[in-house]
Amino acid sequence: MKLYGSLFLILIASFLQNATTIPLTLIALFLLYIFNRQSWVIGLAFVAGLLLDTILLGRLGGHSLFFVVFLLLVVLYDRKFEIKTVQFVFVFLFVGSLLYLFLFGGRIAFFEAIVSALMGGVIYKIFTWRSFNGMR
Amino acid sequence: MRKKETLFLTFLIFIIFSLILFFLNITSPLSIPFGFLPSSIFQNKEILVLREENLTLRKKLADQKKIELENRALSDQFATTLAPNLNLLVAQIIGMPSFVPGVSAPQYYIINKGIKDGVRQNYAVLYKDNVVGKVTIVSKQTSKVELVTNTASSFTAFSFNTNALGLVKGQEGQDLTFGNVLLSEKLEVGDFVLTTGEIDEKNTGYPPNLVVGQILSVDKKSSALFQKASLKSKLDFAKLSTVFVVLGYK
Repeated sequence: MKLYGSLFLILIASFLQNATTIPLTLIALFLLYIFNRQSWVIGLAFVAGLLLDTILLGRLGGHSLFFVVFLLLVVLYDRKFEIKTVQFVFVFLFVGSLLYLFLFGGRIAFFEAIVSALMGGVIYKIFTWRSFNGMR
Repeated sequence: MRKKETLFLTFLIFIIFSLILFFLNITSPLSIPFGFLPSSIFQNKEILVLREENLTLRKKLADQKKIELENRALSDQFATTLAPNLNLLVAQIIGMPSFVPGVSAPQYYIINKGIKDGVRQNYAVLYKDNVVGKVTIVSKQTSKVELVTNTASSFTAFSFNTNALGLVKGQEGQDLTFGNVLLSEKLEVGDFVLTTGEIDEKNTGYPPNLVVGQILSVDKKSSALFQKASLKSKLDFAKLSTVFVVLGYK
């Protein structure tokens, strides 16, 4: 159920990404990993990358490579430090979005990167607040 | 520990798959069946923006070229010395009725100036110091110019070197004849023929000393009443885009 829900979320994000410069798929994948930390998120990242390349009529493999390597960096960081913090979400998404927009958009987009990081931070906060209230 | 190993192995597998796909250089399968779609459903927003920009820039380039040609024509015209005191109105040629490239030569021009710009019937039209023709029909916005090469065109002229008087008439194609020249007069091949001037009280008609053409050959028979010469204008009437209407004298 979780997998289907995540798949649906990634699909929506991929389609919406065509209408905006904000890397919605990257944000979705990142947050999915933060909350799940399962290996199926890696497979999902690969599939999402292929889907995005298909929709954007680009070269297959480009987005998959970026998403998988990005998640690998998150995992490596997770081995040493705590990743379930809003600061980590903000900084990692900012850097990731900046790099993504540079590689696939061909420009250094500070404003879009900040917006992505803020979006990710807000969504993360909403989900953690909900699960905290649920535990109570 | 085993779980972490599995995780890294999964990462490695997917990275390798991605690299293989990337270096195989396969483009999206949607680009073939849906490539004709102009909408942004399958196309990157940035590509669309760049396409729009490209179209706009191409149009600006074409407009700039047009302005450049017009500018050159204007500066060439006002640099001439033969007719410095004429009041000229620049006009664009917007049509050449019955002109078929390679088949027939232009006989008329339609220009984009008319009554509202001060053009009247029988006003002379020239380019640099060369005579082009005369306005025959004028409407509010446009005018019809009968070229000197038109078979209906005729006006008086003289040869520059020998001062021989004669009548210039249009022929088929872009040729002209300089006829009705007395046998006692001398015509030289290579000499230029200029207008004598036919300005009337309404400021219409050809101004004097405009170049009609250059003599290519002379036809002189002692048995004939007159001699004649064939002329060729310096202008290529099929390629002109800008002309000047003589509105009067300054």
